Amino acid sequence: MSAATGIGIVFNSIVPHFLAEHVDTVDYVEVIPETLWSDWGRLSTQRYAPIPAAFDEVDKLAELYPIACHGIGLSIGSASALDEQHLAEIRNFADRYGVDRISEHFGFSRVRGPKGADHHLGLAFPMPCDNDILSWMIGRIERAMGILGQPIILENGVHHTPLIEEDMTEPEFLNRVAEVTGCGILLDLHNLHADHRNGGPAPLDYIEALDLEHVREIHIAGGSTIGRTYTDSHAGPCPPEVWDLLEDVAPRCPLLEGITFEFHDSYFPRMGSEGLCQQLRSAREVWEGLDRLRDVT
Amino acid sequence: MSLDGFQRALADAVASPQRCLELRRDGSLLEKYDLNDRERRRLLAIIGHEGMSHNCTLYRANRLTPLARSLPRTCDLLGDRLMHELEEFWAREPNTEVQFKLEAERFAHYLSERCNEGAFGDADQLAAVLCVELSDLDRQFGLDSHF
Repeated sequence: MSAATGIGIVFNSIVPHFLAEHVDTVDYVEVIPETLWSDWGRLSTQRYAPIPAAFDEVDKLAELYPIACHGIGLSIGSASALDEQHLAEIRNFADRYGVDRISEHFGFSRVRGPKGADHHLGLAFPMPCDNDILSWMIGRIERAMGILGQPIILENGVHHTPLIEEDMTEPEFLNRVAEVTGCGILLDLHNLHADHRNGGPAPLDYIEALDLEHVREIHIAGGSTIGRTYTDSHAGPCPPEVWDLLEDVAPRCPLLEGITFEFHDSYFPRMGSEGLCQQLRSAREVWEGLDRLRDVT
Repeated sequence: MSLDGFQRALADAVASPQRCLELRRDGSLLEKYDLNDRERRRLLAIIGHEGMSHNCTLYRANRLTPLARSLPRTCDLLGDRLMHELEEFWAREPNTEVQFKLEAERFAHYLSERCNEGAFGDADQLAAVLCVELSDLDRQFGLDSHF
């Protein structure tokens, strides 16, 4: 199977049915491996229980498309011990499907619990970008990549609350981590858009500060508003601002391998098959523009 | 670096809007955590920010989602009682579990205890609906109950 390049979609319960009718709309499928098994926790003797029906679906898709891996369970920034069992399970997943791109989130979603167990926060938080955390994080990323047997790529998260008095900005932190470890960056444009909608920095300021040569993948998505907060809920089509960002930034990422559209399956009825096709067509137009640019240069 | 204390304090706050309000009134409540001065200021800035209410909302939404998707008929049957039972369940089980099946089984276990306590007039009906939905989950996940 060839590499996961071009236009991708994040696997959910709708995707197999959609792709059965619209085979050529994507070039790869990005799977969240944690949706394929039950994880009984670090203290369990038989920790992982595969969900056969879910693996069956991915097996069928893998016959048609390259598979990329998008983890949500590692919590690379947790102060608890690096979860090497979890990394080994991700490695098994990657080996099974010949995955050559493994992404995870730059942040933490678990905290150390009693007796070595972890307590899940219930949501993901960004890391404070401090000097001492940088050196600590570099060691964890290097260890993680050793277990995975390939570079990991880290995604920028959303910030609903500020982190004050940081030693450096998040782009500076990610640049340093990527330079030292060789990891890549997954640039989530909708997360930048959500931060800006909620009073955070302008997305282009963030992008200008990021070394785009480390960006291997871009995520695009839609969101929704809860109360006064705009959320990265993957609630349907991308807002126009995200398309503008994609057109601006994609040509400046020389090692970009894929543009992945994320949507939550519960919102699919709002978008429908034609709406989803339109999102993927728009993403492909940007991607084909990159191809023409590469031909010229 | 006392990242562990910082993350624990944040986790405790996210899980409890009441605790956030208490911390906004009295920052010294953070003294039980191992924090340096910068982390203490950082936490108080987070907790005092209007976005913290959204963090608390997301926490509760992410705890509710596994139950709503795995045990929809049980949730329907509980009706107006659901919110009270969720608050009580979350108080008894403060550790978040994002594995849908495990969280559904923990809630089912809690409801069974409540039935035994005589909390529900329709305990027999509730137990029957739970039994059906847990069986469905076992089939969906292809494995037996963890409990």
